Amino acid sequence: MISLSHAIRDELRLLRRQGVALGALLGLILLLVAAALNGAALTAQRADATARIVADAQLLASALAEQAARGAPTATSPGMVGYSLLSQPAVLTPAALAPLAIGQADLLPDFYAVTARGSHQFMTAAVLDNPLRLALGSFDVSFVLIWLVPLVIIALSFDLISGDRERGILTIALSQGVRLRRFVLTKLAVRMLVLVLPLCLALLIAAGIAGVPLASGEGAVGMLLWLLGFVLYAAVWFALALFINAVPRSSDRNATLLAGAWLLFVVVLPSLTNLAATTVFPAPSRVTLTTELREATEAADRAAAVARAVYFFDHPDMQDGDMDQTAYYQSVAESEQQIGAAMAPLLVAFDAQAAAQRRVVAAMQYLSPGTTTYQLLTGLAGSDGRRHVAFRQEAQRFQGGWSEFFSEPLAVGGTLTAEDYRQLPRFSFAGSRPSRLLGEALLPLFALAAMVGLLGFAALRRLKEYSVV
Amino acid sequence: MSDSPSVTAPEKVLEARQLTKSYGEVAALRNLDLHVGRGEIYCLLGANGAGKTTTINLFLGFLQPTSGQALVSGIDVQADPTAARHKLAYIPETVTLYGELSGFENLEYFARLSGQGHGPTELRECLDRAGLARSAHDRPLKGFSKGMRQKVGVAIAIAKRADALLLDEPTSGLDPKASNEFSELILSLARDGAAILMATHDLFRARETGTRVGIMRGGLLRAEYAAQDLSHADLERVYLEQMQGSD
Repeated sequence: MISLSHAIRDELRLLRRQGVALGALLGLILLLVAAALNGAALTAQRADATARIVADAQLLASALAEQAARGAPTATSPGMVGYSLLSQPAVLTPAALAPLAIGQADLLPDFYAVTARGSHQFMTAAVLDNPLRLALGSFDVSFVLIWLVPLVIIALSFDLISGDRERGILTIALSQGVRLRRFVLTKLAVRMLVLVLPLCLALLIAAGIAGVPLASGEGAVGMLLWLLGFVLYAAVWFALALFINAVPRSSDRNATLLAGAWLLFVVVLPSLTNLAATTVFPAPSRVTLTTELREATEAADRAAAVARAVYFFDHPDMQDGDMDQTAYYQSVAESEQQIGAAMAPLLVAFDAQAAAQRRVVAAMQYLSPGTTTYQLLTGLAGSDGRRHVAFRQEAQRFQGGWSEFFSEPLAVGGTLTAEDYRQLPRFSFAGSRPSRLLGEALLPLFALAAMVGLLGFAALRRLKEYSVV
Repeated sequence: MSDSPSVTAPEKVLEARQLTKSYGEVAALRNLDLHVGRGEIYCLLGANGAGKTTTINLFLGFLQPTSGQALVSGIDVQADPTAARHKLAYIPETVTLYGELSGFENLEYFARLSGQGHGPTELRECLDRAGLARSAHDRPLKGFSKGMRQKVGVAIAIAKRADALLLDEPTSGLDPKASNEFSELILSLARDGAAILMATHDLFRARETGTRVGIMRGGLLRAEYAAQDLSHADLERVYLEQMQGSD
């Protein structure tokens, strides 16, 4: 029996002479590098913008602290500082693998300017319109892997068996005494090696170029899981090519079927998933959001007007002047509480719809290897929306603490000191732990492996009945 | 004029026992009893659709018989097609192979598939014996003529050192010189002990090279003769008589 190494060497030589593989591989590698650079640029752009916002906020806080030390009224008024002057940016730092998969990251805010005012600022409808952005995503590494790699796999293997059968080579090959299964699997294995190994290396290089911290725990584990996800995704497409080839058909027909499968799994099913999620659990309309906010604000303004009327009734000497600053900001705090209370049900509904959409996407993703892989890769890169949910929840909790920091002295007519500025709450968001990455990746990886197993098993069963004449 | 080999082959290398292949109600092959011994060349004659290629495909295990058996060196082809194929070499009517590889590289590729551990020198000797000029060994196959491709196919068969050789219309499309060279080669392989089953339309080559000839029509082996018992004219006459008969 022919040794495996000889078989692989012979197939490699054949593939090299046929020329398709090398050209396609080089093209993919160039695209990976370009995509990595693009992803890195987008991520860096956002990171630079938030860094500037953080720096500006720190400058302002320092300036106010100096003024407070000198006793300036604007800097010592907790109402003016908390409700008008100062905000604390709650920043979502990019995950380690963020440059590789933009996902929903460019739709979702990566910072909130937290003030003492209400948390209705945390609502955004953008994500509810596109819970799965596979069909509309940015040009990043995940796009190249999910959209383009299958096309190259199809080009390499649409005529895996049919090509040799049509040319009459298959009968000569099998008459040598080699089993059809071994003959075909050797060809398949060589194609996988030729494509997957160099691309894995290229992925590591692309990750390095994009600034992924491969030496960190999150970076290393994330990258390993990314590579495994990519390998399994490629294996699904190779297994599908084998399955299609395992019935005697023309190469043209095989190519058509595989192209149709690509259209179905990479374009149609993800779009249908998006449609299902947004149809079954539609986002509250922007009109509703705007209307509710306006009505709540108007109601609060009316209440504030009543409070001012009461104030001037109690302080007739101030009739022709302005409210005392402390009283004014106390009424502002009261208004914000009313607005927040009025908007809270909408915020809850918003979160519930978003969570329901995520559940639909999570369930339907397994209909398509493209969607499963997209969710896996964006999840590992922290750009699938789940990380943003955790960030937003953390930011909301922080907003509560920030608001309390100013509303407590405001309520008792107190002032801020330089020491208070040194005690200002600081926002921090814990990055993804490697163990959490592994836990979230297990099910999609298992699903991809199951797809490979099922397709492979079905293909090998079909091969038993394969007619070479 | 070629010499016919002596018939001294009691061992049945290729044997068909009541071999039958039907496609629904259409019988492509009916109750074929045939055997080919070592050193014998059995020429199977018949028109298109007579069952010649079906017979070869049944010996190769590419088709499953409806009933009966095909045996290669005693191995039931249906029970263990892979083992049977190790005893066989096959040259189809059109030898295509991989155009991107040279003649030598194609030989190396297919020889390795059969598990043969020939070195480069031995492989080139196989190409030489098949009649392929040395200057053509390392040229890409896509530039080869039909005759040159067939020589590579023969070299693959030689390299395999198989017990039996199956040939399907091997001289189809060859000029007389190439056809004659091929006949010489087949005779030499038979002298080396191979059992050869050759399906052909070429009555002349069948008479010149064959030990025995069989005439098929409608899936049945109608007649069988020792080649030396018939002249060229006689063979042509009995062939035409068989072709004009009713099923």
